[in-house]
Amino acid sequence: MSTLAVILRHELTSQWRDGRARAIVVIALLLLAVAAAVSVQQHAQMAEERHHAHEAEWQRWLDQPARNPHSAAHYGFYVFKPAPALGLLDPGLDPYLGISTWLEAHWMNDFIHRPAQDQGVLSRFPALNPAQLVQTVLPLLLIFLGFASLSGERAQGTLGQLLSLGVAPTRLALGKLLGTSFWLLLTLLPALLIAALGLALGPDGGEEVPLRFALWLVFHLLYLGGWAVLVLGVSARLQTPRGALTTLLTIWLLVCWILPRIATEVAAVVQPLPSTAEWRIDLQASLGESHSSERALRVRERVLAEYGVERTEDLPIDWRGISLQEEEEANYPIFDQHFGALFDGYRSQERLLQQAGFLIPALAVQSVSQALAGTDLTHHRAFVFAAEAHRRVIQELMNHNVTLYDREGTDYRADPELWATVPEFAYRPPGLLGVLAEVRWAMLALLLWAGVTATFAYLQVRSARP
Amino acid sequence: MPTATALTKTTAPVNRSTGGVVLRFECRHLLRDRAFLGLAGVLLLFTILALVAGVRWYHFQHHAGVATLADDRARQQDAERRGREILAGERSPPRGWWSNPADVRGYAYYLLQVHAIKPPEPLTALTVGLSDVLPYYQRVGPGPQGKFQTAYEAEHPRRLLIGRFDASFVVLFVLPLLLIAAGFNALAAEQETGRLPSLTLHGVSPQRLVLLRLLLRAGVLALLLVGTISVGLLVAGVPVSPGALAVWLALALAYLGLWTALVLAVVSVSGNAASASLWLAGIWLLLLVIVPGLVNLGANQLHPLPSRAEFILAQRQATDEADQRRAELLGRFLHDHPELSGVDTEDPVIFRFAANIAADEYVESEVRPVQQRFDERLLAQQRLIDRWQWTSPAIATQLAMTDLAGAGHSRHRAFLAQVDDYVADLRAFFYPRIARGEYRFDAYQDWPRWNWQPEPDGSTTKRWLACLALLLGLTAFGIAFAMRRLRHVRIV
Amino acid sequence: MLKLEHLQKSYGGRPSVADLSLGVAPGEVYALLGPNGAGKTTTIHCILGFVDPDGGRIQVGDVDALADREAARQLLAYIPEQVSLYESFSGLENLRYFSELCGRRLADAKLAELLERAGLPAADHTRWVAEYSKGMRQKVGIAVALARQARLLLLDEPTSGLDPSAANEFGRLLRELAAGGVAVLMATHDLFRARQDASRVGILRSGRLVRELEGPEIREQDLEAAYLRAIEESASSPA
Repeated sequence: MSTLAVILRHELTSQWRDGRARAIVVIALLLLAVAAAVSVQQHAQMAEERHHAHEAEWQRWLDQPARNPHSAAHYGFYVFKPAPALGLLDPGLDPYLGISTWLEAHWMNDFIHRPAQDQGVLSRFPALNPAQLVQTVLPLLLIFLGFASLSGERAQGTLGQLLSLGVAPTRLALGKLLGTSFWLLLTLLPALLIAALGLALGPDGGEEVPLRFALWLVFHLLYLGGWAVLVLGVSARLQTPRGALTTLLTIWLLVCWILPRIATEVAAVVQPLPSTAEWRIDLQASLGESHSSERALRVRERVLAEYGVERTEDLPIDWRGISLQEEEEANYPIFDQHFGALFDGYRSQERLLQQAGFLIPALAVQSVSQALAGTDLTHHRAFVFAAEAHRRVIQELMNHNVTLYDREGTDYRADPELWATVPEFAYRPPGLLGVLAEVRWAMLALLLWAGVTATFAYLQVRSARP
Repeated sequence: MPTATALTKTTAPVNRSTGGVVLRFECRHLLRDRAFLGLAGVLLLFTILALVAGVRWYHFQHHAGVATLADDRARQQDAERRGREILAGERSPPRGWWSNPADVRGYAYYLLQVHAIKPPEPLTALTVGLSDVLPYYQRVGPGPQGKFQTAYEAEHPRRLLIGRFDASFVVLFVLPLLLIAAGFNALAAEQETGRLPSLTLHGVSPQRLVLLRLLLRAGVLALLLVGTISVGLLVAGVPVSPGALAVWLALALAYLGLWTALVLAVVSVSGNAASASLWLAGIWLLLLVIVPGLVNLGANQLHPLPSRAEFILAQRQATDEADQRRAELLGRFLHDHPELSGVDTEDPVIFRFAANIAADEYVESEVRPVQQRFDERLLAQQRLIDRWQWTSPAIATQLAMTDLAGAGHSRHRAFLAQVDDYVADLRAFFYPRIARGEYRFDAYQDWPRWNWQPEPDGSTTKRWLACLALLLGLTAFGIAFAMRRLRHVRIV
Repeated sequence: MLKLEHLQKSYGGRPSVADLSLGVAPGEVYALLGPNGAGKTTTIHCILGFVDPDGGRIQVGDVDALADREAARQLLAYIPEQVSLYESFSGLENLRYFSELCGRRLADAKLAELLERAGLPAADHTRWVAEYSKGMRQKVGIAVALARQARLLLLDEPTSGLDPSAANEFGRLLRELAAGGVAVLMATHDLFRARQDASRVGILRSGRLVRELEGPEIREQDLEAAYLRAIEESASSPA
């Protein structure tokens, strides 16, 4: 048996004999497993509800009776944001974003019904979902398991004994690291299996899911690995277990709980967003009187002139369809600009938070986790604009039909077959490469975190003295 | 400790002046304790940061409300001006009724812009609570309410996810940590340096030493917190009522007291500083993360909310039904509103608009039970959380502070109820005119205005009193427990 | 087996070991005597590589200990004043762990034999070390040295705090080991044990070797008087 294996076996035995470590591992394991199971169950239910609602609304659109196309456009339908498969690992921002929007004439509507709004005060405490536990609670597990790894050997004098035997301190530390990793993986395993089972049995989330899941795991292991070596390094550096523990707890509290809140406050000050009230007032001002009858009348005059006729009855088409479509098209850039500005504001704040991730790895791993789970703003933005693009397709088809077949003074009703000419809304989430590009700062921060902590630990361990 | 030696029991006769000497010495010690001064500095810094963030949020809400009201008023005045010009014949009426402010349909359905505003309570500067998640103003009108957007604040959702750095956060999450850091080795330091035997011989019992040391530190932190918050709010010009602020601060201090007792209890039980800090960190995680998370999880599992998607579908279904049964619904509507007798339903225009009103009322009556199911479930969840709040003092304190700051569901429910009443008032004003076909409109000043009725004083008294009692009770228990344990502490 | 040449180490300008040269041959028990702060422990820590000396040479067997710390450590065993073991492991388990760490996998019977040889009764082999007395821990330390077949044994105040009979037994073990060809360097201020067990005695003061006594000299002379004289002489002479 190699020295490393001897150290590892000793490490596992001694940690298992320490009732405290055993209790902590068991508690963390159960907590994670319960969180994963509840998450899988709630996620499956949510996905099913949204899918069902989506189908029902689409059917409702198809089942419309004969009616005027513009009435149909007003009737419109609701689209529901599908629950991304990996949302069961990390619900991310989805609870704070609306789940549905109404595709109707004239307006790009907001997303309504944020799940967080239906939550009680407890929702402001950290949620117990797998991602949150892995990102904020497991580092504490690593600290509990590892703060005494070298400082404890030093305190009880065995470090000198070991070194006098010719055991290289780096080898000893590696054995300890492997021991901690074993408990960590053991803690993670049931939750990961439950999540994998949920993914396998759940609705097909797309071909990217296995890769996204794997990457999610890789980046979290990178993050946790950084913690594990940091714990080792601090334990090698400080003379007493108590010093190592207080130092590590302070770092944990700052990184996982306190600094993220300060960072979001700072981001909100550095990259301020308008209040919704101001934003809406602005949007309305930009839209101006586009929906007024004066504007419509100007279009009528122009169309009459283009066709060289004096009365609308003499037109081969219905000018109102042209007017409606022109109104829509005039508003497209305004919606694009206002909603785009809002999302750009979010994006600048997000970039700041990712850059803060160089100091606060918890923020970086949160960014990457949400991106891979499909519960970040990149995905939401993609859905919002995909829905809007679909709304525009509906408007064009309906207005075109009005132009061709409606006539003033008649009660024109389009044949229900028209409704089926609208393609079903099929949303395709943004591709993995684009998503990863959005979180490049966060990924870099995580790589750096792992690298810097590993270097720190190596230097501290190499020069460890009894 | 099993090794309660004879020394512990034969404490030297207490010199009357020992207490004063120890107190003076400990005060001097405190001033030289760089680590503690650092912690106090951290508290000062964090409290100021939290105040800045909280006060900004209060002003932000306030200004958003003011801006909305100003925009409403400008649009109302503009509509009134154009309407009066049209009525006076100085301006030709627009082609469609929907653009015509002198037509009650155009005015009520399209041109009237009114927002119901829930003014922020000044205490949201200390406890953001749910005020950043729940809308604080809502566009209303006599028409179907589903049309109007609920006004979410356009905040970065990650800020909502991570939560605010408000004074509540500093009190609930950070203050215990500072106290732990200040007190976890209150006893161990004496034990490890071996000073305890000689102190005991001089009549200083370990109980008194540890209690004094911790209370002194907690007292300094408390003074700092109360001072910074009071002065900060005063300087920032937040119009907070002294009574409410006093209650908020009392809650914060009671919570601090509870943690002092917890630190004392753990110090009295645990053998050394490392294991004390390990235990205290574990308790912190348990009370602030695990228990609230589990209670929340349990509430969601036991009383799951109906899906909002179903809510939308119910609304759509009712709209479809109303569309197919317009004549019948109008008949029923007129039957229910005898004051509208004499409406000429033969007139196609009158029929159309009157039937719209009837259909809207029908849709709302269909959706109401779904909404009620929602509200009942949410209430059931909240009752469950109320019942379980004692499992973590942090839950109880957060609930009490949130209610006190009017930043929770109870004030929001009151707001929504007032919005419903207000919509009913608007309808009572506009609908008879529309239903009767009296479309000419000039009563620009007469329609009812939104008027927020604050919750009656004392509506939160029960909750904060209960919370205060819980915190103080637990504090007393913790201190009594620690004092008993410390009597048997290992001296040598 | 061990050779120190002009070893120097100072802390903050104050010399702890100054120009120390000595050698210990196989089969020899060398007692390093000196008052507190004379540099005994620092010398041992330098040999172990826990402390980097400022100058000089350390040779363990054929190995330059300063150049190849790990190789030197392979040859030696170290028993500090307080032998540190893992509390939640038995003596046997501790011995197994330490011997496996230096690449010796021994059967439990062999390990038990080593412990017995070191003087630990079989009944105590499987009890957790947390219940051991200081003397019992020392014995496990000796067993570790036996197990790894160390050629050089470094002892730092091994008998302080042991009762006379335990100390006596410990001395017997040392002499046995030395008889087997092990070189022993023992830092101590226990004059009695030095006289009983040592084949050579070096007296250290302020990091300098002020006197060396050999074989019969130790037993013939009054060691205490020689020690005090050496210390006083060196104190009065200009450093």
